[in-house]
This record gives sequence, C-alpha cells and structure tokens, in this order.
Amino acid sequence: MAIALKNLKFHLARLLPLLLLYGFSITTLDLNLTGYFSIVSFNLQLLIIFYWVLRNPEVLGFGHIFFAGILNDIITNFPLGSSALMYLVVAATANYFRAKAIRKYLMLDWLFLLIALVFAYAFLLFILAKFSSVEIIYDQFFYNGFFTLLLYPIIYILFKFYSNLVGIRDTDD
Amino acid sequence: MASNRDDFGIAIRYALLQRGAKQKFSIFSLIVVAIIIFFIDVNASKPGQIARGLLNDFIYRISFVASSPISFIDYSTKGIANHFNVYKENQNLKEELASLKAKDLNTEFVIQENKNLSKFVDEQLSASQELVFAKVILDKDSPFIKSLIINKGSKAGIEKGMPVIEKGNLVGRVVEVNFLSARVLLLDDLNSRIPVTLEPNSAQAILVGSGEDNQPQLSFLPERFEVEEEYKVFTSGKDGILSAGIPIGETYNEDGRLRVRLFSDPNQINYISVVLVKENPALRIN
Repeated sequence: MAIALKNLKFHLARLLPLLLLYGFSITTLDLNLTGYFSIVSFNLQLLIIFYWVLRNPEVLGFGHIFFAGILNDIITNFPLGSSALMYLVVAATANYFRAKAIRKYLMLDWLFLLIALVFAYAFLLFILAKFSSVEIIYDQFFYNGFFTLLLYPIIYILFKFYSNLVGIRDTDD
Repeated sequence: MASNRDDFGIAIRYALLQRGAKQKFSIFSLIVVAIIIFFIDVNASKPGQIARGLLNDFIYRISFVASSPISFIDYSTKGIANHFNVYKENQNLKEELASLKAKDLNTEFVIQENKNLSKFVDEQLSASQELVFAKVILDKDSPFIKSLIINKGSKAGIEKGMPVIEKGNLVGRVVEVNFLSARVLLLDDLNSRIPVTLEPNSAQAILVGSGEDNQPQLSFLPERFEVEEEYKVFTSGKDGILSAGIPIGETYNEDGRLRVRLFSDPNQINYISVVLVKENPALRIN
C-alpha cells in the first residue's frame, strides 16, 4: 500500500511539466508583464518544451505538445495548427541537439535555445505572413522571443531543482 | 566529410522520426498533421467553419472552468487591494468633489456639444437597438491579440461586426461568432479600425488600435486640423455597422501622437452588452 502510494505520488509529481504546458496553453495563466511594460511578454510553453525535450522527452510526449499547440491556437485566435507547428519545431530542434550534444549545461542550452527560437519564430512568421490574413506585429514577436530567451536561466534552475526533487533523470536513448 | 554528413543525417532522422519507448507519434508525422490542419483552417469552407465554431465553444468552456481558480485568486487580490485603497480613494473623491463644486460649468458649451452630437445619432437605430447582456468568460492577456471571449453567441442573435459596449461606452466589436460564445476584438487591438467623430468641432477620423494596452491612435484627421487634449471621441456610424454617438474616450497627446484614453478600460471588463444592430448599407460611405 505504502509503495503504491509512493508510486502514485511519484507519477503525479512527474506530471507537473505537462500540467504547466496545458495550463499556460488553455488557461488565462501567464507571466506577461504587458500591463506594466507593453513589450515584456514570454512564451513559457516554448521554454517548457525545449527544456524537457532536451532532457527527457517522455515527460511531455510529442502528442501532448501538438495538442497543447492546438488548444493555444483556439484560445489566442491564431489559425489552427500554427502554434502546434511552432512548438513542434522547437521540439524537433531540441531533439536534434539532444542527439548531437554529449554534455548539457546552461550556456550550451541557452545557445541551442536561441537557434530553436530563431527557427520557430521564422517558421511561424513565414506561414502566418504567407498563408493567413493575421496582421503581424513583428516588434511584438521579436520582443516575445527575446524575453523568452532571457527568462530561460530562471526556468532552467527551477526545472533542475524540480528534477532533482522528483528524481527525473536525463535520458539518452 | 562523408562521416559528418552521415552524423547530420542520423541526428535529423533521430530528431524527426524516432519515437522512443513511450512516444506514440514522431515529430515529423505531427508536423505534417499540423500543416494539414493549418491549411484546412485558413481556407475554411462552411462546414469547416461550423466545426471550428463547435470546437471553439467546447474549448472556451473548458478554458473557463480551468481558469476559474486563477480568476478567483485575481479577483480576491484585487478585492483586498481595493479594500486597502478605500481611505485613499475617499480622500481623492473629497478633493474631486471640491474641485467640481468650484468649477463653473459652461452650460452653453454642453448644449452646443449636445446639438452637434444629435446630428450624428441615427434615431431610428438607437430607438430599435436591442442589447444582449453577456459575461466575459476568457480574457487571455496576449501580446499579439487584444480580445475577449463572451458567453453568448449566434444562439442569442449575435453576428459578426456588432458593436460591444460596457456601461454605455464602446469597447470593441464582435469578430468571431460560435453557437454559444463569441470573440470581441477590443479597440486597442492592431486590427481594430473604427470611424469616429471628435467633439466639440465634429472632425472625422479613424480610431486605429496600436496593439498596446488602452492606447489606440487617431488617423486620417482633416488636414491642418489641430486637436487639443481631452476632446471627446464618439462613433460616427459611417461604416454602416456601428450606430453614431456611442462614447469611446477622450484624446491626449503622447510623443506627438494623438491617442485616445478609453472610457472603459479593456483590462477591467467583466460584463458587456452586444448591440444587436445589422449593417445598414444606406449609412455606409464608400
């Protein structure tokens, strides 16, 4: 009984990154400071996806990443599939670096994230500008990407602490 | 060289195609599905739009329930903050009252303003206007779109383009209608364009959303027109959709740009009314 309870707690604790991903996608939860500084906004879903795909993709699952993107599109009124594509591009880039990098540490992660964000935003802006009628505020996208990148060290430290607490290990299959 | 290319190919294949022990889908297959969904949605046919509407209704309801703890915390925090501000607010109100009492109200100006406004008000429309009262169920603070989701849709008679007011002031218009919900595009969204008239001198302009909170700008003002601060801004009704004379806000200058301070703060809206007016082509100016 005690072991079963411990297992249940362990499994529930492992769900936190997934819950955060869905939480930021479907609820009004966010850390944006646009009320105080109009340019400061973050895309936390990208950071969650990048960190966990780089460390242990099984914590999130690619299907969940896709589905969270679809939900986010409905809530934010973007064409369906555009956020999902953006998330999957970040996931694919992180997965690529996962295969290439032998060691992972903050500065290297940060560099990889920069590349992943450039790919993801370029891809999103391309499909929105070319195939949809959404009016794009390029400045806002740039600021959003920039502040998302800046926030990464904090997310890195928090998730590192959480990984140690819950006992999630990096996987290298 | 060949070895490097092989490594690159292996890593790419790994990134896109490998599913791992617990992954049910590869990233590549999901990207293909997302692209297909994107193009279906962008080129939506009538059945596609209906399906999207039903999906929106369903997800908005789930989102509303999932967001309720956050809304409750937000509401409680604001309530506590308001409680502590009561004393300060009381002092401010006393000062404001004294200032208002001391003010010599220029009644002639008010009468003139009223006469000017009457010219713009379409009596037929205002007399037959029907309102649908709705609750804001989602207000996601996005840097890319300023909009609200309300709990009434086509079932309540709401249609695209209808004006949305709060306490008699315009806050936006309906841009997406589902069966049980609708999306309201706020005046400060980048895509918002509203024909307006400025009082006291009845100048015509377009109120353009800037994408920044509560800071829409005025464009297409008459040549050599000098606007002073605190001019009142109303809808002109020249788009044939919005009826004339709905209050919007008052002007102010910021770094040489003429902006409008909205009477209803878009970030503080809980309930709104949708004005059930249909487009009147006779009012449209091409």
